[in-house]
Amino acid sequence: MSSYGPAAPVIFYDQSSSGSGGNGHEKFDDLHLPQKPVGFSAYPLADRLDDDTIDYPSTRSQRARSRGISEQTMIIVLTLIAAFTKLYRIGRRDNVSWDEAHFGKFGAYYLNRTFYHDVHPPLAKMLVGFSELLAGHNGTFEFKGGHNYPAYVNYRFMRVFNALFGIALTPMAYITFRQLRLPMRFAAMAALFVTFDNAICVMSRFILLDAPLLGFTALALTMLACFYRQRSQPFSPLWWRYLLLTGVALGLVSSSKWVGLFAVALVGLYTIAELYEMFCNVHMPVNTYVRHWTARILALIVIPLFVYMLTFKMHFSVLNRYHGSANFMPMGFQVRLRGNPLGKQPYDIHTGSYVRLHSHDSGTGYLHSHEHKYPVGSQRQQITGYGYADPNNFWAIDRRMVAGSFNTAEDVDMAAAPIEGAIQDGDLVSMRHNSTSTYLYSESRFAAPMSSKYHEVSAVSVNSTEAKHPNIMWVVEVVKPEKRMKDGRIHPLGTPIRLRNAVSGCVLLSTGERLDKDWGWGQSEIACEKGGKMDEEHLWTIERHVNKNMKSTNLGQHMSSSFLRDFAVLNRQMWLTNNALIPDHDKHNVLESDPLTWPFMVYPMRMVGWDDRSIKYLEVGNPLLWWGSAIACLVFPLQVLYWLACWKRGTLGSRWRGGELREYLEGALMLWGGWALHYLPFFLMGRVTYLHHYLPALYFGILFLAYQLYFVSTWYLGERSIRKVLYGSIMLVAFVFWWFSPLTYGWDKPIKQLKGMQWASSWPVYEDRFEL
Amino acid sequence: MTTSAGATTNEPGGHMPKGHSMRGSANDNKSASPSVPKVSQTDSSSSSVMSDSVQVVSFAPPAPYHAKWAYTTTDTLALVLITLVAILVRCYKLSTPDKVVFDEVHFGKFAGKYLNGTYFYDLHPPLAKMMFAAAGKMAGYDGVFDFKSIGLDYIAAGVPYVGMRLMPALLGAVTVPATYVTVRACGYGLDTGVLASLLVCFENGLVTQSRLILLDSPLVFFTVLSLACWAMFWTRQHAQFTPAWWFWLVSTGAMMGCAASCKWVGLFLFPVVGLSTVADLWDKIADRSLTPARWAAHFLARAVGLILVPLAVYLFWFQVHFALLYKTGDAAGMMTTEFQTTLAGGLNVTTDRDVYYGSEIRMRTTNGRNGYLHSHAHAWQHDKGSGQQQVTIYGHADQNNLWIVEPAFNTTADASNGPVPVPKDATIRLRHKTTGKYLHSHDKRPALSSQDTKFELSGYGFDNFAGDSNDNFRIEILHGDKHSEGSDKHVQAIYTRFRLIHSNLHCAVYNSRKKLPKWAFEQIEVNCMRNCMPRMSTWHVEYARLPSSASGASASAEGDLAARPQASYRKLGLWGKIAEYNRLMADSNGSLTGDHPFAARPQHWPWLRRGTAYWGGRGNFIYQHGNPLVWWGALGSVLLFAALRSVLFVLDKRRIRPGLFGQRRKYLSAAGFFVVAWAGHYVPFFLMGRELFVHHYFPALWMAILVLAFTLDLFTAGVPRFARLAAYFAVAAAVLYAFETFSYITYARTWSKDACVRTRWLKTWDFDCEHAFGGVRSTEPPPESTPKAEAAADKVAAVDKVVVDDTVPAAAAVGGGADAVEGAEKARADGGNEEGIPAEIGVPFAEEFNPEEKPEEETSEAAADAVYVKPEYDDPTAIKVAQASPVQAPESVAADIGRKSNQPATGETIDDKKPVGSADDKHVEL
Repeated sequence: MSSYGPAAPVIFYDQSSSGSGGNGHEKFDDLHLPQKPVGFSAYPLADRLDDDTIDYPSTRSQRARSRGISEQTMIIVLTLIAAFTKLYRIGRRDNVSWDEAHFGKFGAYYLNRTFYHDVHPPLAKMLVGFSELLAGHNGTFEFKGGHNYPAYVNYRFMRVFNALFGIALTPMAYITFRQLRLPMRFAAMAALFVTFDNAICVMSRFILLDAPLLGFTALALTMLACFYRQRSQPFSPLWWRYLLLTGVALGLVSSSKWVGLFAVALVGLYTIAELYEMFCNVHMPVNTYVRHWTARILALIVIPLFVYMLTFKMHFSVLNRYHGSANFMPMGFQVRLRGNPLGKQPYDIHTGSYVRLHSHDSGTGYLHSHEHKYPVGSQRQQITGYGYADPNNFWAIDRRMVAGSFNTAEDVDMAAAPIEGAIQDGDLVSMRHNSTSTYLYSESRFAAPMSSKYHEVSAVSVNSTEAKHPNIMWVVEVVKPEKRMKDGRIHPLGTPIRLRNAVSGCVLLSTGERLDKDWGWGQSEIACEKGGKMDEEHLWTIERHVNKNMKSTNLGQHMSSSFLRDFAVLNRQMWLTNNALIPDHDKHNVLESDPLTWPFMVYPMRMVGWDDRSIKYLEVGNPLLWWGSAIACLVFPLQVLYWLACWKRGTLGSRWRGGELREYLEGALMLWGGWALHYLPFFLMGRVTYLHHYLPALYFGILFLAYQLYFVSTWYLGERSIRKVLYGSIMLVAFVFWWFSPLTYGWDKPIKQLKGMQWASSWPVYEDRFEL
Repeated sequence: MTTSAGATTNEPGGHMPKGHSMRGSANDNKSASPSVPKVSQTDSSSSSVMSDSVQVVSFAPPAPYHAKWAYTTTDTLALVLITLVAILVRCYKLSTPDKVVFDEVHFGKFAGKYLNGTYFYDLHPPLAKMMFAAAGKMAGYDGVFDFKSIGLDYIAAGVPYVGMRLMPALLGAVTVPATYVTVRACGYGLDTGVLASLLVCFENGLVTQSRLILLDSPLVFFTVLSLACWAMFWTRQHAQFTPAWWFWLVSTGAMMGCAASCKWVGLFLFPVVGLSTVADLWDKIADRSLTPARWAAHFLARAVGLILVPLAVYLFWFQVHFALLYKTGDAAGMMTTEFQTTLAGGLNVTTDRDVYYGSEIRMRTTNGRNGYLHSHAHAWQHDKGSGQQQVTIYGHADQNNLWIVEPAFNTTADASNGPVPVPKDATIRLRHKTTGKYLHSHDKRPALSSQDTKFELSGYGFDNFAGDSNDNFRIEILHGDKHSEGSDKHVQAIYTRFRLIHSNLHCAVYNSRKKLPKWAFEQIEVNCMRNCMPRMSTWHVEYARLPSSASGASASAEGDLAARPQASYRKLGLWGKIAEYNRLMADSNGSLTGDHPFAARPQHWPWLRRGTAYWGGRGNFIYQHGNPLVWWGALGSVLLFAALRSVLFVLDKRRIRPGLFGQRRKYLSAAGFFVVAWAGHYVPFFLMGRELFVHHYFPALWMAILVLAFTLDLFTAGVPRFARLAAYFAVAAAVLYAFETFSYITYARTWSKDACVRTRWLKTWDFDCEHAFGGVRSTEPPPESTPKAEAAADKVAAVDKVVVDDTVPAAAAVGGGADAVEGAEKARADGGNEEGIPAEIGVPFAEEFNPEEKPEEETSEAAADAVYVKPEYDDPTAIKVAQASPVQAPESVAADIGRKSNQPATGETIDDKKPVGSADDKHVEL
């Protein structure tokens, strides 16, 4: 207490030497100003509560004075209750349930080290993998949905490991409230609220990502609250500790799921508000201000980013076996994966090599031809872009003239037989289609079938007269080769090339158009463009190289790999994949739900099959908590608006003067802001949304409900009534939790035998709405 | 502090009577400097006259600076003079060119439709078009000439086009004095008012736009008037609730309503005016002399003036619109059936009400608007299909849409007591009348969908085959009509809305709204979908008749038949019509895409990257282009304001208060309001995916021009009066010079190619100097000027498609058969180049809804399916194409993505940006 006395050396936020009290016209911006003269702490409440242990949770053990229960005892008791609710009959359903099919499998990939692609960052799945490792799993079980767990998979242990995060929510909620200076009994109430939510409980009991996400979100909030508590003592060791820990927690939460970024936004907004307030304080030395900025940049930007990247680094180093899902990664990454069929190929490309060219234009695929003619233009055989590997994609590449030995089309000797040797940048080559024995050919007389501004590209038989035209000759131009492949020759994978026709000088490209479905099977149009552009659609990579006379080498040694590039590519792909998850609005999907329906829990979700014998789990929350928190959160803006109006009018009573309101608002904004930031952005998302996306917001919402209960009751009620509210709400919530517990812990009898579970007509407890 | 005091003393408009302000200076400093209240208190006490003399509400966003405007005869003189100049500038050479220019194609035509009462649909609200119709009526236009394409000759057709163009020209002229009024009402002097109105007067873009039959002139007119009224309203703050106060408040609302009734761009006024109202009301809370009741009165007055009045105006114009368009027309097919029945000569369905076993019925998809359940003697031809007879949705009523209701497979209906009505939840079969096949579904994929929750619908059956249980469908009645007894118990034509659920597959007959390939005559796909939401699987019977043979009735029963209850669509009321029309407008605005060569994205507007080619003749042409000096100056002053405001914000927080030549409060509130207004009329366009043009910037431009004038005032406030006037004259002269330079393309004045080329100050200005004398293209039409079709909502596309259904000799026209004509016309109109019209630049852009040419939206799913070519062999080592979205949308659970992404892709995904069959003429360059 003493350190908060009037003589406290650090005047942190105090900025007004005069204040504006007394004239009844406080300014909005004065909201941040304490009403006491300089020298008084910004935190007048520091000495308000007698039973408060200020530097909690420090290592020092301090006995709380109320009722003689120490903080430690309280935390232990609460944690035990939480552990019981989360672990009770956790292994009851012994087959792969709900999304265990995915996340269990992803975890197993870390054991068998196969690369995979998923929309979520890797940390939470690595934790699942870690739990599998501890459970002794060898990575062979595939977690097929609904299958029974074999004996060698200790799924119980894995679930318990995951449930630890759910259990940890309870003590963290308690600590958060203590840091916000609520008394122990109300902190305990908040912790019990969190414990007794059925939805959080049921989602913590399986091998899912929700529990780690919730756990890390709660950790971030707890650390933020601890940091907030330290803010009158900037740069003290505790201040640093909690600031850095906040950063670490943010890193962990955003590495679990991108929803964690909302927690980053919460802390970010808090920090901005703090820095803005300091900015308005003209008495703060600039040096101090700069130090504040530096500390926050370090702790809240650098550290989380570092943690986030570290998890990806671990992800890449563990997953070192090839799988097709790595196809979007940079080639330098792919060839390093063990078992990649492209990893070992002949290095130099010689006359007589067979190559498969892959366009850099996404969606085009391979340079392809087949025994079908264009119905227009030259009516010669088609050249297309085709997305699948098949023999029609292979071309024999022959070196015709050496780089630099020709200048104009007249120099091109049509009769020139292929020259032996490795093909170099600038060489003249012919491309012979393997399965139809035709040459790649372009003539400027004909326009491409769909895009008339380009020349047509076609295939001419090796025996035809056209095969003697120099139009079959193409100049190979290497564009931006891999660093270690800059030897002037062309190689598989690492040297993107352009093919420039020797006669017309046009460059082979994929136009992005599709050929007619009737005659061109909707494949991509390939054409030839005059000019020297170097866009993606002009570039081709030799993806596969076959030459029986040459030895394969390990291409990995020629390809550079950069973690930053791999990291960026993977994150971009995650983003694209995430955005591709678009719901079909014509389809009724019992699992999806609209964000609008979440706060009032309009559509709980069935997690497993609903037949009579199976053990059924319903993702249904504790309605008291869901509805209560929704109302509290929706009413709060009105409440603030009302107070603002009163404050603006100067009719806000004396409460404001004491700083009590300020203290209240800061805590409330932290919790309510967490709810809003974790909920409202879902309305902007086009992707499919599910009920459990609301759980992080719900955590904040439940805490906010408890927070409001405390403040409203202390403002308006006497001690006896406060006690009634306190114990009454705990009992009620616990009772409702117990009421719905059959659906949380599994119900293995016909659902009709379970009465009274349907509290709203839209709930799919007994009947499915749109079952046909 | 001295700066603050100085700010008040130097106000030019500071001749307010003392004491009208009840709030005092505590509010004056609200946003500016919260941390100096004490000082400002002192200030106000020491110099209360000065600080009370001007009352500024500068809570962000600022409202117009409000000061009482002492109107003088000088004002009258200035107003008269600038009005005359403006009329001259707007009406000069109004008759040139005597050809149809740019979008006159559409808006002239629509005016004609008002005159002859034919229903049409356009994605803009009706007011501006009705004004043109009124102008045309007064000028003697009879509504016959159809403005088919750009370049058609008015004189030859005898169209009084000058009269029609005079209306927007005069509206455009009025914006100039209105600008003067606005500036004066914001507290600025006569000189600044005149300068601002000259800037508006000599802005080439506004001039071009207001000389043609286009909607933007009325829109800009009403927008300007709204804000002028709003500024006037603020000058009445000392006399609240007086008639004048009410007059300006209600006028603001009425003008806003009219602006929104011209184009939806007018809706942007609401957030702008709304923000300043909220800020004002919020400030009023602090005023403890205002009782809560008085505050509530303020609130209600504004709610009435700024919400109810505009709404009433908007609805009123729609009522006029529907009253004028009473006859059915080509566009009626886009509306719901209930809507169509309100039009004279439109859809008029009367049918037997009750549906019996044995009835012939025609089923319409209820929410899709694209037609009837249809079948014809052609087989499915897709890979994974059954090869059985096609079942589709077809837009026109014909014989092939008739189905006969029969009881479920292996059951009969007991018709001994007369015909049996089809009850709720009955299991029925539907037999196609002309081919005799039963509606059938089975475990085959439909033509355009590959998901395993969708099944093909086919016609199945042959002689001597009784069918099977896959012909059974259960009728699930969703709801009846409360006005028709029993329509929720039994199937009744028109009144009962139901779904058809396949008995074995548990899937619902579903309108997928996708266009089938040519082998299915590009009709609409219908399939059977599991877990289907009701919206697109709802059907109703539009026609039902029990053939006398089927009823088994004797001749005596024929009388009963005739006496059977009838059903017909209930006419949509006015509210319903307005609601439907507005929904359709929203849909078509949202789906308006295209690649008009002169379309421009918002980031290119303010710095005048390029204009729009409107029309080209010999030696002269019209290219809608702004006055670069005005545009750049306006943009610069907006940016300057933003920069200045940010700097002031930071400085204020550090207790430093620059006084800005004593103009601080006036400048911040007046310019601040118009910068917010500018942003409100500009920034939202970035969120719009639809095709946009430079002319969408005009309302914002006007606001930016005011900011320019305010900025010029600010920077000349500190200099001697003659220097200030000299500066104003210099600015005006420069603007006039630039106006004259570009007046050739504004007024279609004849000029030489050299002069034209010289005038291209920026490389991006692509007016085609070949049209000027000395150019070579005077006899050649521009190459490739065929514009792309405008897009339209896919839902309504099919109705108006001219479908060739070979089994149907003649498509009976039930609302929309005549669309073929319209389609052909449209195609020609959009083609732009009629033979004999020598040279025209300016591709007409069909900004109105143009259903005929909208390609059916291909979803990636359909596209992937369509391009699927079975690989000859599966190379397990193949590296698949890196695609933008390798993961299919999940079928059931979120985490599916993980599993799916580990499987090799099974279908090639087309990049959505390059849809199948997209434009081949997107490279139009002029």
